[in-house]
Amino acid sequence: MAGNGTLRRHVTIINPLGLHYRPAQVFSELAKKFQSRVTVWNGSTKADGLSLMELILLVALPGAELVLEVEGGDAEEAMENLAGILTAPGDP
Amino acid sequence: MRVSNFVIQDAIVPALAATTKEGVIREMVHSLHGAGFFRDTELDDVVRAVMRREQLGTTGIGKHIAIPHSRHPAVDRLIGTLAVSQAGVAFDSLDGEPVHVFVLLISPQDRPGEHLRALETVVRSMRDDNFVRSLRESKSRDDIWALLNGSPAGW
Repeated sequence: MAGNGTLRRHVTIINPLGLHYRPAQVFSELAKKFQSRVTVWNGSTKADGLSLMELILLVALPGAELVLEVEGGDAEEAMENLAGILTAPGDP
Repeated sequence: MRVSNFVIQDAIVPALAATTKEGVIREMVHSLHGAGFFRDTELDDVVRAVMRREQLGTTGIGKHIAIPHSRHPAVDRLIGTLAVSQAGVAFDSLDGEPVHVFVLLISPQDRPGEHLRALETVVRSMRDDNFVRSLRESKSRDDIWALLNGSPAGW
């Protein structure tokens, strides 16, 4: 999708420690660098990607399938970078 | 899961003496030791592990709370303790504020689910400003324990 569209991607957590404090912190810090709005879902639980607390509240265990949604002018770049953190095999 | 499921009652520190990040962590680890956890020879290593984790990125998550933590082979189940500093301790918090309420978590190496659920439980309970205020106003270990147990379901 081009321009100011919304990108949505399903990602699976393969880090054996899940989306714990450290990757969630790196994710939220990185999300702040983009203009786009970032949202992460684990099932029906929704997190603002800029909020470390909300990301921890997702309780994304290893194997969890999350939905990453990015909306804004830099959505493509944001999506690639942020999805990479969620799908990394280990801690950043 | 409730905070009282993993916080060790006898290790709660209602009035921290420490005024530095490492001092707080050391005082909390020693409090767990006083409650029967860790061998003498493991204490420095546990403190070092928590400090190493802290150096990767602050656990001063904001709103005057911090959640220092580490995995360590010295435990076979997740344990924790809660400490309160009246004066507040500089902890490089995300919002720049001093920390008054600390929850230290030490987990075994291999139970990611338990660790994540404990983190979630702490974050969920600490989002309630009234709960954090009540903790800060507590005068004793018993007060704090009562708060941790008297809270509504879901804490």
